[in-house]
Amino acid sequence: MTLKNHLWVGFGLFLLPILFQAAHYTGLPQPRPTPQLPQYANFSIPEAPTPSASLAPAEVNHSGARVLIDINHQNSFQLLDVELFTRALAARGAAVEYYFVSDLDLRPLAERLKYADAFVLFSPYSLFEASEISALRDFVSQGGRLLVFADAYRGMQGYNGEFPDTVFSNLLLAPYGLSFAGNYVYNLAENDGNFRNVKLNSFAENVLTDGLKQVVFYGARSVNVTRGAALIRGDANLRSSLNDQGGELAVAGLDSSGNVAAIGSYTFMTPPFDQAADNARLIQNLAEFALGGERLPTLTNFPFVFTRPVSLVTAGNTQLTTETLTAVAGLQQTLRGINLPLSVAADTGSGDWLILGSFSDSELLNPYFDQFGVKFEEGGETVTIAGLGEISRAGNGVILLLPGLNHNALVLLADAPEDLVALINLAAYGDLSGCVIQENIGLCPVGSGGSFGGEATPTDGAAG
Amino acid sequence: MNDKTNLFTWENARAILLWAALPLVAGLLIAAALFPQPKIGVIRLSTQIDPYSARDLLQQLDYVRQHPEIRAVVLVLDSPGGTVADTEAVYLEMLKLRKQTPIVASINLMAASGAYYLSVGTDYIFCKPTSDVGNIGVIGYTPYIPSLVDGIVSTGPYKLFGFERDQYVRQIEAVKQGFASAVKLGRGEALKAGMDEVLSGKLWPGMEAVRLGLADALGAESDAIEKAAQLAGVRNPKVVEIFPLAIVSAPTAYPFYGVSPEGLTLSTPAKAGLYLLYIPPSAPSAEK
Repeated sequence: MTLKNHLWVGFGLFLLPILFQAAHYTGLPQPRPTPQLPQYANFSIPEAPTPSASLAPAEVNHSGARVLIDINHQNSFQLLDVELFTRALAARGAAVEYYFVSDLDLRPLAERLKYADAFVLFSPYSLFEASEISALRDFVSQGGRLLVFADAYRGMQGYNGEFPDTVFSNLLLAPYGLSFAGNYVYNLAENDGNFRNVKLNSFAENVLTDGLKQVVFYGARSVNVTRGAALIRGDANLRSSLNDQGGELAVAGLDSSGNVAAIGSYTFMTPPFDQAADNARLIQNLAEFALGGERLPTLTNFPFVFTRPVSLVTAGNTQLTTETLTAVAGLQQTLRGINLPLSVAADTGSGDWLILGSFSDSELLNPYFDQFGVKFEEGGETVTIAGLGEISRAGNGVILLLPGLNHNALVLLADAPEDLVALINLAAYGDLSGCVIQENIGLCPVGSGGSFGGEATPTDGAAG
Repeated sequence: MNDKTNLFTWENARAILLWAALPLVAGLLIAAALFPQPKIGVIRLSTQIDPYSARDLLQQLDYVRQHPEIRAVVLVLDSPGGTVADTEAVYLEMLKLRKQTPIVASINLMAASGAYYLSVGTDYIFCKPTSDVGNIGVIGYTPYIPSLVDGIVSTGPYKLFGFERDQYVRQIEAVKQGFASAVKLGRGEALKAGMDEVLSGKLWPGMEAVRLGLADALGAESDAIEKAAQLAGVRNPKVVEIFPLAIVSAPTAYPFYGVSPEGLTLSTPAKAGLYLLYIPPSAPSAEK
């Protein structure tokens, strides 16, 4: 071999392992994208919805009104959570009371509702008793307002997930065609910084939605409305957590009578959420709604048949004797206990009226006799009342209640002065349980000889 | 005949040594120097992402960067995610490393939330058919309402509390935007699902994740190693675990999860804060 050949062999042997190694370990790299870094500095924090224009101070136009807030059913809320709502009620002159049965206050709900304008329920976690449901049904049918709140943050977590705060509320709401879903609603597009903080822009016309352009609910449940009106709705992107389906879900509804409202959130009442959009106005609207019922008093609610200062007038030949005045003083004391002044007047004026009279023709009383179908003969022994028949005048008192938008009138009628005193005393005790009450007419045995058909038993009031 | 019988002579041997063996040896040496056996490094994340596990990951990524013979990395994930800042720290280092070294993710049991954040920082994602993939989003514990605390003096209304509650919620949304952007950039055109669906926070089984474009393929760890080699353009690589090479000190457990008064480890973090974390619901009680 020549030197040249040697060199070629040597070079080949030199290259061989290099080529082998290269071929063994090297391939063609596959193309891959260039890593791109998110532009973190460009991500903006969502803007908070600006509060709506400041609200005018509330007018004190509901003095004497009372709102009962339930805390008797293991309600999952703190008084502080709804303080802005209770403050709005108080600013309108209403008194807020809390319904809680304890050794200190054993009064059942029916008794408490006698004087209430609205009953407000937040997230109950125990059953309402049949008597409570019945009392609330009567209350609503008489024009009382029932506000029921649920909130998606108030569910209780258990092993099997959430036990929502809707179960016991829905039992109350069902007769009114309203119910809460045990969900939360969310909106991935129209929200305040988070999908569960939903912006709501669709409102039905009502005092509850007056002046609202947008509200933001922070953790809300949807409201099913089968009878009545959906008050506040979301847009097409508002969805239910239960099935991720949407379609303009409602988060607040009103029953067909207009007296029962179901609102699927109340976190929006809690600072700072009240400052978002028109939330503050909604709180004021809720207070107006609670106090805006046209609840006409009934005799079964006695002594809470007056809502304004009371003028006491006498009709016909009825005299304010010493005994009568003593009894009236007792009644005055009773009314003072519920913040209602009673004054003796020569004639009926503004406010409510308490009329004392007897079964005799009187310019003041005749309209009431006509209204209630009360017929009698001067000097006769009986009186006939439409729907009740003929009763003995001796020993019996009659109470007539004529409620009105401008004044309520309570008429106490008895045949003899001592019977009238006994009847006033009955009223002063605030207990008509010894009377037969039919709608707004009460028949009370008040004298020792008094009887309906001769069978009535004398009462304590009569003894007084 | 004598010539044939005397083929092996010292002269011939010297010639072979000079013209064959020496070049061959030199070639072998240079081949070994020029083309060493490539290595595929395996980095494993089998816990939550917390300051300690993130530090370990960063050390391993740094080791890879300093060792060019490691031509690609397979990131094996089995993690529910963890803290935001630690996740971002690892993610940003991964993006830097990816400029020189391909990274392939291999999801085992789970790559949820922050762990999925890391996986979108890789070149390719493998998962098992029933791996839990996704849970894209942020959770945070709302801070306390600022108030005065008797006995503590601070110099600003949020000095003690750090955050304003309402603003905090919005900041969580901004963190989510960062996560969403990382997913969009990382997955690119492979992403089939809409962002509403992506950001719903759902966990998908691996096969569904592939269908939605959240992962590239179903496959085992060996498939990921093979893919990493292909991306790096290497054959017959040696697979090395990076952890024992990079981590000198023994791993330290970080008290990430809370502990109940009874001493049981909770599924929720011990500290309030922002998390890219999947918190599994409690299992039904055996007594029920």
